[in-house]
Amino acid sequence: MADSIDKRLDVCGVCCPLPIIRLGESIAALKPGQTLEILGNDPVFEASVRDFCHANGHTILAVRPLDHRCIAVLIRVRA
Amino acid sequence: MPPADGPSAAPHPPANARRKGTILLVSGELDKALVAFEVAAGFQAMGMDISMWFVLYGANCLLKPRALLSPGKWWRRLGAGPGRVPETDVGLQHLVRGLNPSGAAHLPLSQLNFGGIGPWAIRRIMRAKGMAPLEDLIHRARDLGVRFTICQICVDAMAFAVPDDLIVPAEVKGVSTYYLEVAAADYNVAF
Repeated sequence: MADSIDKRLDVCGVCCPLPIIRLGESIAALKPGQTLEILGNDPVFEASVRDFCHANGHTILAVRPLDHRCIAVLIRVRA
Repeated sequence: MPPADGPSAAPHPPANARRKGTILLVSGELDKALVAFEVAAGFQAMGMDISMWFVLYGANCLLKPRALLSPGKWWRRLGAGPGRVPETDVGLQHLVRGLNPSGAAHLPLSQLNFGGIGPWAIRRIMRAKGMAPLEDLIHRARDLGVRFTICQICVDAMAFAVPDDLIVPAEVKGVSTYYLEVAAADYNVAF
């Protein structure tokens, strides 16, 4: 799984709306079909990423809770 | 309206049909400016094209930071540039410019201001919580592609020099342009 991730983004420590702003910037630099893993700990982080992907047609492949309220979300960029 | 192609129920419109929104900022208060820019930057990142309009004190957050007693506020000619009509200037505009808070770092709060202690406290809390300060949000909004427009009458009356007085580029337009943008947008809000 790990070797299929094209980009990793860590937005731990910042809160809404910065995670989706940085997610949008990172996804814009990726090609369709590539994958990005974003790591965050904002209380509304998972919902923000889900809403972003829903609004823009990206696919959420996996959601992994980590330590210290951190959550890792794996996204496939819309084809 | 452009013709819809494909199933219109799709939650994400094609990239060439991004939704549009306008945000009108009238208030020169830190709390309202923060909300306006958080919504603007957040919506733009979500995929909506946001156009921000600034009237009256709303433009204060876009000005270069100048403290109340800084010479740049009091000992300077009234600004020149697009939207200005210098021949109708009056001396009172110097007083308005001098007293008007200049820059995101000098905005008061609408409540709990306590002579500037409130904004200081809010900034400290925001920093501890990982929230972006207003100056940062303004630059992020600009980088994301949010467009900024200042009302021409306000530019003239408040004697703003565009772009020299501003921290980000902005256009100077009138209410007819605002109307066209509002009529074409799905989301219009004023703070």
